[in-house]
Amino acid sequence: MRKLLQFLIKRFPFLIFLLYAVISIVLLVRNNPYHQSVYFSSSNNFVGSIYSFSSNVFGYFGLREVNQTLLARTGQLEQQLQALREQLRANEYELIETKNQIYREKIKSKSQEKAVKPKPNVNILQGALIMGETMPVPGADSLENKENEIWETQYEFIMAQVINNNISHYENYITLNKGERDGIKPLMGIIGHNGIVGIVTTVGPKYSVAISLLNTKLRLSAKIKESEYFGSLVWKGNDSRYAVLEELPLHVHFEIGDTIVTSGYSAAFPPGLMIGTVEDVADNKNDNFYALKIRLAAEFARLSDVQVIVNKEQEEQLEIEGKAKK
Amino acid sequence: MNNVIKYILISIVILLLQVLVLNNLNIKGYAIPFLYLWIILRLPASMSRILTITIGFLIGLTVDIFSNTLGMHAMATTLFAYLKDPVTLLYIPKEDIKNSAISIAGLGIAVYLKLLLTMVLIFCISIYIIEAFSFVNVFILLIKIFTSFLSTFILILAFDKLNLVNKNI
Repeated sequence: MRKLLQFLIKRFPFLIFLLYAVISIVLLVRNNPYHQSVYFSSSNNFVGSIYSFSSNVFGYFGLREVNQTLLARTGQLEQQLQALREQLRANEYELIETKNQIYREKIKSKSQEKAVKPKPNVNILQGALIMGETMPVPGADSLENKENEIWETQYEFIMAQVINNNISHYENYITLNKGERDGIKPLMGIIGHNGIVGIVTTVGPKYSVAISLLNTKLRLSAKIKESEYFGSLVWKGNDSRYAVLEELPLHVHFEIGDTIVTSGYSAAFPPGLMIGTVEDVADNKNDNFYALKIRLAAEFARLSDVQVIVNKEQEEQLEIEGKAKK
Repeated sequence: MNNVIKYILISIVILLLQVLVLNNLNIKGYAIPFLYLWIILRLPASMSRILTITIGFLIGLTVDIFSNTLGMHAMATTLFAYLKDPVTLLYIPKEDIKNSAISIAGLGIAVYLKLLLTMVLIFCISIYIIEAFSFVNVFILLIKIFTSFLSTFILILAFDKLNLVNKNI
C-alpha cells in the first residue's frame, strides 16, 4: 500500500498530464461543427465582445478595399436592374398587346352576337387600355409571378459583420456579431459581397459561429449553372482561393470559366447563388466522376460584411427530410 | 510579488496578441507564430510540475475557445508543459535548475537557445500532427511545421530581448 502511494506520488505529474491529455482528446474527437457548445466556442459573450472590440479597431484598415468591392457590386446590380427594367417594359408592352387582342376579340364576338349596339363599358375598357393601364388577365403570367413571390417571401436577409475569421487551419470558422437576439438560428446560410461564405452552426445570445466554406468537414451541393448537373463542393485544406467540386458525372459538358452556383438542395441556400468559377480539372482518385478545381468568388482572406439568409420554410424542409431519413 | 503581477499582465497581453493578431497572420497561408508559448516557458522551474501542467492546459484551452479548435492547442500545450522540466534537465544539471530562471539571463544564451529550439520544435510538430490527425498531406504538413517553428522561435527570442520581466521570477 505504501509502495503504491509512493509510486503514485512519484508519478503524479505524469498522471495529471494523462488526465489533461484525455480531456483534450475527448474534446477533439467530440468536436462536431454542428454541435459545438456555446460556452466553448467564440459565440460566447466574453470572447465575442473581445473580437467585436478588436474588429472595431482593425476593421478600419480594410475599408478601402471593402469600398471598392461594394462600388463594383453596386455597379453590377445597377446594370442588372436596368436590364430587368427593360425586360419588364418589353414584357409589359407584350402583355398589353395580348390583352388588347383578347378584349378586341371579346368585343368583336359580343358585338357580333348582339349586333345591336356596343355596351357602354366597352368604351371605358378601351379607354383604359389606351391609357396603358394593366388589367388582370387570368392565367397569362400567374406562374412567373408566383415564382417571384416565393422568392420575395421565403427568404429574408440579416446584415452581420465578421468579427473573427481564420483561413489557416483545416477546419476554419467565422464569428459573426449577430446572435439569437437578432433572429439568427443554426443552419442559416451566409453570403458575402461576391459569393457564399458558410453556414451558421453555433448561436450564442449576441454572437454566432459559422462553419466556413474553407472547412474540410463541410460538403455543399453545387451545380454548374449552364448544365444544371450537380456535384459536391469540398475544400482540400491548402489554398484559401480554391475548392474542389467532386462527384460530377463524366458525361457532363463544361468549360473553363463556367459559373458554379448553389443547387438549392440544402435548406441553407436558395438555388442559383454564386459560388465560383471553374478554373481547371482537378486530380481525381475516383475514375467514375469528374473533379473540378473551383476558384471561389468570395475572398476569404478579407471578409467584412455578410448577409445571413433566413429561409422561412427551412424548418419545414428539415423536418420532412428528417422524417424521410428515418 | 510585484513581478508576479507583472508576469500575469504580460501573459494576458500576449494571449490577446495571439488570438487577435498572430492567429490571423498566417504568413503565406502556412506559418502561425505561437508566441504564447513564452508564458509557459517562462514559468519558474521551481514551480511544482502539477501546477505547470495545469497552467499549460488552461492556456491552451483559452486559445482553443477563441479559435474554435477545441482540444487542439490544449493537447499540445499540456504536452509542452509536461516536457518542459525533462527537456530542461537535458541541458543543465539538476542542482542548478531550482535556482535559475528560464531566460537568457538565467541560463546563458547558448543553453537558452538550445532549450527554446527543442521545446518549440516539439510543440510545432505535436500541434500540426494533432490537427492533421485524419487529414494527411505530408508535404504541406512539413512546410507548416517548419515555417511555424521558425517564426515562433524568432518571435519568442525577439520578445525575450525586450526584457519586460525581471530576470528572476
